Amino acid sequence: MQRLFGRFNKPYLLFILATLGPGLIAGFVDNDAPGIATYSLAGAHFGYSLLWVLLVAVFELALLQELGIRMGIVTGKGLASLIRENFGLRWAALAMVVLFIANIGTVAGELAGLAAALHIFHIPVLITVTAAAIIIFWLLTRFNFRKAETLFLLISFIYFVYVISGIKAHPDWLLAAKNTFVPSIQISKPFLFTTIALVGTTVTPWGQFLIQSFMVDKRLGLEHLKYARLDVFLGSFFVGFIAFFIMVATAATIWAHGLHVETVADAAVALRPFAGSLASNLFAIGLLNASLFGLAIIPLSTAYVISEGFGWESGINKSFREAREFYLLIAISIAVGAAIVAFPHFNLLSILFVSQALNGLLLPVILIFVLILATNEEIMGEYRNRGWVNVLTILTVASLSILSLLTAFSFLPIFK
Amino acid sequence: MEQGIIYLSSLLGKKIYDAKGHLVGQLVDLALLNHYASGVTDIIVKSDGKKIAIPISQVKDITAAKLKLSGELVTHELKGLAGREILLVKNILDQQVVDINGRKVVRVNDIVLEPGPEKKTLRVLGVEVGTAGILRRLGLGGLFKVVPKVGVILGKKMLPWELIEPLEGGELRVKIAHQKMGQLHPADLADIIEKVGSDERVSILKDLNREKAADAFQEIAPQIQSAIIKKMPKERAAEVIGEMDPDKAADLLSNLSRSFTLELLNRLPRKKSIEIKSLLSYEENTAGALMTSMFVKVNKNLKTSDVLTLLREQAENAPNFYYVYVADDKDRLVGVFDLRKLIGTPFDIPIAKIMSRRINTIGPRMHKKRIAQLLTKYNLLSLPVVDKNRQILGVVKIDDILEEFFTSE
Repeated sequence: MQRLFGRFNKPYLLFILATLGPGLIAGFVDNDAPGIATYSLAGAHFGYSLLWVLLVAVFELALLQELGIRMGIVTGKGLASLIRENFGLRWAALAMVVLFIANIGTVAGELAGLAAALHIFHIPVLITVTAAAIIIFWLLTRFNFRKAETLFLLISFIYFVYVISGIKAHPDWLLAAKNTFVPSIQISKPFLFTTIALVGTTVTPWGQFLIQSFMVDKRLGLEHLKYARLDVFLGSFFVGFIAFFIMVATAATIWAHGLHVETVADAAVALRPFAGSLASNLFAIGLLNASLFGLAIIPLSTAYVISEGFGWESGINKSFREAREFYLLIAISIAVGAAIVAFPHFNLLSILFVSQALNGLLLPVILIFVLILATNEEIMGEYRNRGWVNVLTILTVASLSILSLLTAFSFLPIFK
Repeated sequence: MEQGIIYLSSLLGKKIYDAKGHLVGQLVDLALLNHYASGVTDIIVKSDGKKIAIPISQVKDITAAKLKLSGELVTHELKGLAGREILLVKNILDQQVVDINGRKVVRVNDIVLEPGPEKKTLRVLGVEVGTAGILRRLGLGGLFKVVPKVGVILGKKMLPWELIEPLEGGELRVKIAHQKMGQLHPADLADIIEKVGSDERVSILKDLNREKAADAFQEIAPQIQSAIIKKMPKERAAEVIGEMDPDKAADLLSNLSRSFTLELLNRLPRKKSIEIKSLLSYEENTAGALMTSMFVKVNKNLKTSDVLTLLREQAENAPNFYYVYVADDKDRLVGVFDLRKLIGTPFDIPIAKIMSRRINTIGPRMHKKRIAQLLTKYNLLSLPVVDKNRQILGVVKIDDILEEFFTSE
């Protein structure tokens, strides 16, 4: 250990501080509004019993994010480019459509989170969503919204209140520890659905594209690979750390007392041990920040990725006439996302949750491409996936595919 | 769709039969032995799981639904990129076209080919980079028939093959060779500039010399012109505008914001800026807005030989012209003669004697439709625009009118 850390010289520390690390950013965007809602629901409904799923999901996240940075650094190309150039247009179109659908779901989730947060402050959902859709589109296409990511990242540190709250709630630590390391499975629709949402909010289709593009944009050389690895492992650790305490805090406050989460606001109870009567407000601020962080990054990065795959001009420094498809992608994802939230019969909590299940369902499609590319010697050379890392990756992709298929089958009437 | 061209996507997967009618395999790629040339040399066929190269000269009709080979089957090995050999599917299709600075521009969605007259040869015309190519390859080409305008809306963009240069090395990229551009006709250059990405447009214009840049620039569609000019450094923008014909420059500036226009005008030489300002004050689609201030005007006291000498001396800066306008001492338009008349007349004849005094003139507010009618009715190549005192303000040329009618469609 001593030697490993001895290698991190000062310039790298500065580098991490200056950029806060792509892995860290990707990690914190992972704890977006649907993420917080999904972890809260998982803890509220199933107590500690899904903690092992979280552990596996975080491990898979680290594995796949490392693969993403490795592919980005070695090839110098984004994932969309690699898919297009190696599988041809038809497969690339499939991957892009899958990504776009998952993206619309996530945008709907973020907007639902925004609406729920502001609803706690008594602002009607319809007003929030309409105004947010317009303002967000305007901000995204006018300003370099991503420059604000450092600010969002800093505000994200309020999620650490979950750690304090979780400890103050006096959870059953023994049970929590046991459930983290010993898997338990139930064959039921809610269990399957929560499991896939939990995985889908931790390992996301957009996250896989995002981390690789981040690396390509930074034009890091192979000598930076080990630092970048540390960065994504750190990012993955934080995702898991926060998520763990969200689940523990909700389990100890809601599940343990036999309470139910009917609306998003109910999940604020988990913060009571820390914030008392201010729990709702604190929860709302955290949720608001998480939504804005997600909205700042996800629609735009997806539009960049899809444009890259299809060879469309992209960038907010281009006019609408020059980069028509790029702007349409952003506009459609926000408009459809807003329409879903504004639809009178959907409740916000379901949108937040279902969007993540959708992510989980679609994830294997993207991961199969990643796996094939990662093992290709022509593309990855000596850095290709092999040995036990590859075995683990194959296991990850296979288990996620099975989970995804199971969930999809669970919708069939024969499954009860 | 277009006459005489075929897309690579429509050839892929075609079945190949030998002279006896036995199935050889499926077409999977096309090879060019020398990527500097545009002729396809071999078809690559997947036969029993192996890829073989067959000279294209053996194919009877490349456009047929089933490709039949003639003669004994001759196959040979391919050398790969190092041997200057290029495979269209493997090396070009789906790749990114990057500009000279390595920034991404667009992606190759299809490749446009032209069969020779005997349908035994194929020439690569260029790479299609528009969204229309994506639809065609996704099997949604039927949309073009149902919605005829789909191609126009999505943009069928093609980069000519001559401008594509595959790079060697592990990753193959395609770049646009700016060096080759200087040799093209301004109108062709303008077509290319319209098709490439917006960053690339500015960088192509930057690499051309000032005159060439201006020539090409004024052939570009007006909306694209204004988009480009906004991206250029101000000095360079002013330089290009300064080199353009004043009427075209005025058209361009009328699409830009007032403050930006004034800023650019202030950077121009005084004379040029006044000329453009006066053109800008006329309403759109009227003679005033369409006319050019580049015309030839001489004093009526001159002799034919004087005019010839004058023209010879100033040929360098003269616009394309056919008519020479004659003004009196008070600069009033009194006559006109054409070049044929000038050449056909002996030296030392006063031009007042050869000029025609019956001149069709128009006012600066006349609409372009009326001008077009006059030009066709009297078979004229241009019409002088005069003010109340019969002083010439400018000339509306038939090519400017034609352009108006064609671009508005």
